[in-house]
Amino acid sequence: MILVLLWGISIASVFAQAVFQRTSLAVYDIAILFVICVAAGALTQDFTKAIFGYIGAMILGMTILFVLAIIPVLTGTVAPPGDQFLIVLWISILVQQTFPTTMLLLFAGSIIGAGLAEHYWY
Amino acid sequence: MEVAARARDILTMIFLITTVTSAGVAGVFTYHYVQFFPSMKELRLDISLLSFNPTPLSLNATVIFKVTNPSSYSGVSLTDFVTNFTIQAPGNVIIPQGFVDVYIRPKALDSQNQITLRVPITGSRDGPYKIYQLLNTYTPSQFRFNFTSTVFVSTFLQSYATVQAIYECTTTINTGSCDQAAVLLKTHPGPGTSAGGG
Repeated sequence: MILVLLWGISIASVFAQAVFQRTSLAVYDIAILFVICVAAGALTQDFTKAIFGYIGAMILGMTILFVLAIIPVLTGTVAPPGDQFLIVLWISILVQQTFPTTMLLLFAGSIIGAGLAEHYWY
Repeated sequence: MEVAARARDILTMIFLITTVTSAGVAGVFTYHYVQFFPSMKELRLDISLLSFNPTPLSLNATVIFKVTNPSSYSGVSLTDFVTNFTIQAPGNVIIPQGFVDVYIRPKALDSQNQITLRVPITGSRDGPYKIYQLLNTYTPSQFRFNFTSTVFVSTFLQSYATVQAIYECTTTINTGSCDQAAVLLKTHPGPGTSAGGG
């Protein structure tokens, strides 16, 4: 559980510094996310745990990121109807930045991490 | 096995440190992002000068607008300025004069920055001639210029949406003032354009 929590926070953090600067992930952002997923996958030491851990971390990470993105709406800084527009805009940005390439790449990273752990640590 | 356990511990520590560090960095950028919308509401437009010396063919006027970012937020730039204006003559005679689009090479509108826009106004249709005729009866200082101006701002959201700040300005040759009417976040023109007010 703690690993999934840290994993999700890491994913949200890397995404946040990228999208709050330029709304897109640079190559090095994806590289950092990939390394994080390889490391987290290795720490699970198990393929099944890595798969479910990754799914949980992505859900947690994207939820944290979305909540951060709509802080101006939650605090009332952006009033209606702009609030609805901002929510839709951020959903659009996050979906475009996540699906499908980044998500599949990070999934692969998690599996590779679990594979490396099984190979070298057992 | 002991080496493997030690490697796992080291990796766990590195993972923990990476998480804390990345969360700290993300916190800084999130704070910066949260400042973005209030700073757009703080953007100011002022008219520092209106000169007005009409001929039958031209209003021969110049307006100097000043766009200021008084907030602590940096990372935006001014990309376009469009203004629609009417002239209000004594007796409440309104003479619409249409749009003026000021070409601007994008300029950084960082914290505490001010951008000066010199806008020449010639007038349109029979407006200049009407004003010229009215000047036989009134003085230039009795004419009021009413501007609805849109400031286009390029931001970090530029790939997805533009920010437009709209101002209502009213000025005579002696004094003028502007009030922000709205800040709009709009998707780029094209199919499915939508807008929101802030």
